[in-house]
Amino acid sequence: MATIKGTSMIYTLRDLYNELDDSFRNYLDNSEDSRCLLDLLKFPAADIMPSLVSYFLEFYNPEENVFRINDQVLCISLEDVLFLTGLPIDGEPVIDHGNRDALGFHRVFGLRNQKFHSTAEMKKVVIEGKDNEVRKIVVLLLIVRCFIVPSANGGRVSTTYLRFIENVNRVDTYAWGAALLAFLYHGIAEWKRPESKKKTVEGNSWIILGFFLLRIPKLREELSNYLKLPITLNVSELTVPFLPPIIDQVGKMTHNHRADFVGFRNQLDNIFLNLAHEDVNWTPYEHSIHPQERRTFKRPLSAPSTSRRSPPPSDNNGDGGNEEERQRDLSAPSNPRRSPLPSDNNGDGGNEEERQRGLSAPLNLRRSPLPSDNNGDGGNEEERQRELKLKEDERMRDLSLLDCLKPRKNLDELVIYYYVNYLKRTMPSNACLLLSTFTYKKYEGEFRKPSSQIGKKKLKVWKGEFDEYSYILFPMCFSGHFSLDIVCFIDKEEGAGEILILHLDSLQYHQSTRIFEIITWILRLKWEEKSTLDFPQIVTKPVEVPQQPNKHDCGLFVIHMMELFLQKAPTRFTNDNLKMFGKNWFDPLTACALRERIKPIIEAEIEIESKRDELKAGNTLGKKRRRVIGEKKIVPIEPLEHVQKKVTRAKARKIVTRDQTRRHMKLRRNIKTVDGPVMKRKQIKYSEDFEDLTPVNQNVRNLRSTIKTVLGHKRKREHVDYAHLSNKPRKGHKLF
Amino acid sequence: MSGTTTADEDKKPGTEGGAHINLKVKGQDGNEVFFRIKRNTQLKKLMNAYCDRQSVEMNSIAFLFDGRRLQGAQTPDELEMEDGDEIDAMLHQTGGGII
Repeated sequence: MATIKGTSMIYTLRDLYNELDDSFRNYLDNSEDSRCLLDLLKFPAADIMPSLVSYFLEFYNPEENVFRINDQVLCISLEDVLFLTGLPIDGEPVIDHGNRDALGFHRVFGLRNQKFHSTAEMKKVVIEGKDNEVRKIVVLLLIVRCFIVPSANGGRVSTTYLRFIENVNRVDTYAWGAALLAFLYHGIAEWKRPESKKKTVEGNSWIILGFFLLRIPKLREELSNYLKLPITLNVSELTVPFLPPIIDQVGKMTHNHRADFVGFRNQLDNIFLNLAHEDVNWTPYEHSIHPQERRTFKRPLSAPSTSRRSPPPSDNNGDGGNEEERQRDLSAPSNPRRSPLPSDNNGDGGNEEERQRGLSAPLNLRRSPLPSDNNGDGGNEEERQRELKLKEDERMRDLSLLDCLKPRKNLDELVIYYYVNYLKRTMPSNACLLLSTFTYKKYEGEFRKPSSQIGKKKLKVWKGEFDEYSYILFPMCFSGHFSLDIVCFIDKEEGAGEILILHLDSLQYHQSTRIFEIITWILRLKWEEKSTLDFPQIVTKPVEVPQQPNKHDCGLFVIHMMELFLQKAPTRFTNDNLKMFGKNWFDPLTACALRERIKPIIEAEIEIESKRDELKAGNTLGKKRRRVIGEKKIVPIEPLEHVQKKVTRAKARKIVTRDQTRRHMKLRRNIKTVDGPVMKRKQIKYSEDFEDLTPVNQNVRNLRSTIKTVLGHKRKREHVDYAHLSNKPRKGHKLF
Repeated sequence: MSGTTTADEDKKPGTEGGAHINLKVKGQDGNEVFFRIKRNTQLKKLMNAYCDRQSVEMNSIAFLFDGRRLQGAQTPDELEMEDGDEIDAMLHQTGGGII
């Protein structure tokens, strides 16, 4: 028998709301943001009927995610969640990567950073806290914990969902309803798995109960007969949210009948095993006002398509599955499941909007003369203005990229793209092929497809012969981290293998084996294009490189490693050259200090890129002007050695005097943030300790993260005894 | 501008010396969307249509052709695109360490 969660949880919320002092309760009631979640506080509380819910779940088919009851297929859809709870089902997705925000408790609430705090501890913050904003965030976190994702982890609260509510102004933009449903489905599926050891169904089971009470009128009748209690649930008169009156009713039912429904099983079987099509209320919401017609969600300004969408129809046409599909299309902003637009626009019957969109390109074009025409006849001034404006807009948009070069920000992939362009321009090499992060991403996507689809695909990574280059540099960005992969073509006489694939990762976070697999696959495709001989031998090797001392500089490390490698790489790589890498390849702080240097480079590259089409359009001028722009340095670029020197100097002095330039100040701040000396000392210590373990990186990695976590709590640092750590890595510590 | 004229033109693309071109925009997930545009249409139109369709923000997508990023003001003609060419639409992400 299933134990059902989401029962005691709803009491937690109710109690919380009751325990609040009046002024703060008023504050919450009058708060304009986060309404969708705060409204849940007013839901009544009651005991759910676990035996009833587990009876429903017997009909659940985890493969199809539907309830199959005597040939009737019912499915809890997003629409149900929307009407039952009033939570938005449309908006930005709430995706939890399973990552806790390791420093969240302290940052937001001033609590000790640890994996979990108990709900009681969190409640205490709400009741005793002074700052209403902070108290509100705690309340929101508890609402998410107790209503959206109620799980059976012993009443503990983690920071996983903190980032969705930390900024209270954005809370209403998330699709909480969709998150609730996804979590519930996951919970049911987990519980249903035959090998599952889970005793509880995680997720908000009130939705299941509410769904069946609404959809099967007979169930309500039988229940009121059995309990001799009139169940007054006039579906057509309910308003969103539907759940509170349902909870009220169920509360009355369970009040005196907490034990179970053993005697009721026969009646239930009677209803469910003979369920006919007309027994189900397929359209319970047809009389209700669609909540999204009342509620306007704030959404990002630059997503024009969303505003055009009509709200989903409020009638439910009977097929739960279809309904959900439709709704899900609306809720997921980048749903890839739609069929591709047929090129002739005639195949797609009936969808006017789609057709319009498809046509818009050729239609509009006829109205606007082309740029090349303009160049010819000196033409239309207005058009040219418009074009200039478009270019200027794009340029400004691209320049906003420079924001991510501010201290402690994460680098955008495009920075790597532009930097690669810069390297190509300034260090032209016939031996080395530089790619952007997008190339790897593209082929990673291809790799995941079934092999039948990719069989004959032509590869466009590079043109020409298989071993045209000595090196191929694959920077990559996924899972929020950058790393670099280098393919070296080794001469046959020199070494054991013909191709050496290296992986350089400044955090040892990306999974090398997977990357090697994909790169090998790319090379093999290229090989099979031209040759029928055996594929050359591949040697793969994760290379040790200097490690980044923080969480935001890996892009800079990739940039620095690419540049250094280009400078130092011999025309043909030999195994001896592997010595050039290693943890002392360069000073990690040099890479951290690159932000200022990169800025003018990226700026210049953006300028060049935005002029590229101009060059091509004016055919006669093209080549000449290209050369001019190509050679022109718009801003003088700081040589790499300067940066290195500055770092050494700053390290030697530690304190930078006041009269130094702003740039030095920034440098100093960087160095302070990376916690240089402490971190370095520790790192060296245990990498020596574990020299013999380097192939099995896990231990070292665990340790490192342990130390990092410890360093995170600056105040705690002196109390921690590292000695025991070096012998026995603590379990359960993830990299953060 | 009526839809019928366009439809007529669409039926005889070859006869006008290939004024139109079929382009394939391929998303990161391998999803393909086909577009048919004039050779001298600015690609901005195609990008807008694609982003609209996929409900993604224009600023978060990089369109790449042969590894180069596309500018909205460019046209297939300028880029010497051929019929059936593939444009990659890549979401550009940020990376620092671990999220």
